[in-house]
Amino acid sequence: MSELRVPRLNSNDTEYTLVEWLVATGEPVRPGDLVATVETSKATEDLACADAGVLRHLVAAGTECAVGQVIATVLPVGARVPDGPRPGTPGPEGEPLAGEPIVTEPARRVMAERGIDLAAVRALGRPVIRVADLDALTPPDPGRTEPLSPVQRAVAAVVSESHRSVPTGFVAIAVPVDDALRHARELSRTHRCLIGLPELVVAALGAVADRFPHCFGAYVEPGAVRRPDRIDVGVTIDVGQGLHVPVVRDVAAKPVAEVAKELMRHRLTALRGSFRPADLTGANVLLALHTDDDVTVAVPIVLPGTVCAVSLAGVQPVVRLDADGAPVTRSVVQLGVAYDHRVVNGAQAVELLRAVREVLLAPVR
Amino acid sequence: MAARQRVAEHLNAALGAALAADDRLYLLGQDITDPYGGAFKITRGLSTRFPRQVVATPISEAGLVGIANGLALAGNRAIVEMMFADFVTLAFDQIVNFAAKSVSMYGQRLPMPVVVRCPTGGRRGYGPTHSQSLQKHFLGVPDLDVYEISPFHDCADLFTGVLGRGVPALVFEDKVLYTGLRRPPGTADDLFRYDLVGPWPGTAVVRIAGIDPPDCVLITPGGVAERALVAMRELLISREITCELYVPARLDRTALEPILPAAARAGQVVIVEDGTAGGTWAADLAHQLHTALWGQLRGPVRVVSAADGVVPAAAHLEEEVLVQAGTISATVQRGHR
Repeated sequence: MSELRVPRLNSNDTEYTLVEWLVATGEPVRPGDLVATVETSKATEDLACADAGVLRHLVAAGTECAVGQVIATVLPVGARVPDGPRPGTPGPEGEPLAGEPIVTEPARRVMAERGIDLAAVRALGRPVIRVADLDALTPPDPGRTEPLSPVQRAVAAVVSESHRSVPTGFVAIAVPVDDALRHARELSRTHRCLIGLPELVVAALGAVADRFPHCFGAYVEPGAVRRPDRIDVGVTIDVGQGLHVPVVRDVAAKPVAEVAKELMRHRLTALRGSFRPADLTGANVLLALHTDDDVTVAVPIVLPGTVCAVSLAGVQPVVRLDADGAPVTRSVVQLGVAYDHRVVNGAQAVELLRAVREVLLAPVR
Repeated sequence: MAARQRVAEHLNAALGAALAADDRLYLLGQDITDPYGGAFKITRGLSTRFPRQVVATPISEAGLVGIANGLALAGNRAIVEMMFADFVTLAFDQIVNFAAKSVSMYGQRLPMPVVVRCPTGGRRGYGPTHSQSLQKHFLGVPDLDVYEISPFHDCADLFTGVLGRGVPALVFEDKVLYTGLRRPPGTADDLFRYDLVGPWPGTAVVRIAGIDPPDCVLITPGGVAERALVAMRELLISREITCELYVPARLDRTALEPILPAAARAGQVVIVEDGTAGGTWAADLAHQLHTALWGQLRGPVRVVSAADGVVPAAAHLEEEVLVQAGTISATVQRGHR
């Protein structure tokens, strides 16, 4: 197969008019046959073909043809010429064939980056395709992403697993804490360590646990609960280095001062960021501390493998009437518990909270 | 299917139609009769078809415009061909001091249907005295109209309108356009469409449908339009900078109305002309746009003119002096924000 190109016929013009085809498409040609007439701005000239074969027109008579443009091919002798113009060939009058858009170079680069093919672009039905037009073919850029810290990735794994596997309920009760706060201050002085509501709640959980074994157990498929051997309380600590849940061990057997010292060690470890795995595993209840006084109530996440997660909110002042009917200001916290509803129901959860409240209201060891 | 017409053929047909329509119309010029048919073959065949009306004259531009003026005063009409626009300086007195003044200086308005055709511009290697663009010297003369042909405007309509106005006029014809193709109605090329808008003789607006506002409004006379089209294509395809091109056929008192809305919306406005800077069509139009759109333009209207030097004959030197498509493209890119 050979090609018939428009030769340069003068120095003025960059394109010539193909006036007529002297040989029809599909007709046989011999070397030297005059097959087409082109017109320059000065003259007309006949073009000869170089090879023998069957002529196939690529452009129609009347078309403007650039110097060097291929206007016909000579197919092997005996070849059949398919009907219709060859795809991608410009139509007469220099107009592009319908459906063949002009794609800008920036748009071509974006097509390559996003793996968009020409067929998809053609389907847009636009004569010109710019980068903005390609947005219709690709979802908007999700924006920049950055990886989470390893600590937060661990948190993400735990809370995802909790949401996936633990169907929870939640309940909270109000606890007057004026007396408990006074006790805590006295204990701090006596034992020379920081004792506050969190330490009292951890100790109270230890004190009441033997009455609520299911609340400190774990759900076991299909429909069983494992009872706890001892009460290990995981406490949320976030000192700016990420959220950790170190575990205070065997709180039922420890006086509150011991609990307080163990918690303080965990806080210092949290500051250094060097928890060992043993510090963080084995809790059978969670205490989520939301003790910022702006927090009114908090719904905690139940740790997978436990049943209850207790939350301690901030201290709120409330106005109450005293025995004589006079208004007085009291400090109250909302003590909440999220519970695995497969194991525990709302009534037991409330009973657990009331039991903890009893301990807080009574004098503490 | 009719083959597309080259601008030279189109001009030839327009002049033939004008001569056929009015036997008091004369066509005057040097070497315009057959077999030579004029330096650019615009009048080829016309002296054979209209031997009484097509008259070859001696080499005297002042003389042949003077004849045309006399014909007009005597109730005839005349179209004069300068062989090169550069030589129109020799007829400056007849055009400015006689033809233009005769319209009004005799106490009553006198029709002076005289058209001076001027093959203008370079890019042909013809050197300093055969390549100039002298349009600016004829702007602002009372009762003298200045037009420029383009690949978009119909020259038959132009000649009919100019002769009908009875005001002497120059029609500049970029000589590179002659061998180029006339654009079929509505279609500038495979990318751009065009419409003729505004008062006669119309401003061609070349654009891609559906892109508004354009990044840039380009305004050029007909001779620069082809280079502007090349620049517009390159700017769009390489850089996605969109341009809308305005090509008025009338250079003196260019109609502002068709241009103002787009110029106010576009990111920038660039006016391009052939010829050297200084008291030019482009500078005057830029001033008018600044006045009309003060406070609305996104930046100053910029003007691109030829370099401040004579037009060299050597092609590579000529290219440095005259406005090229690349000059237009680079200017638009610099102004693009």
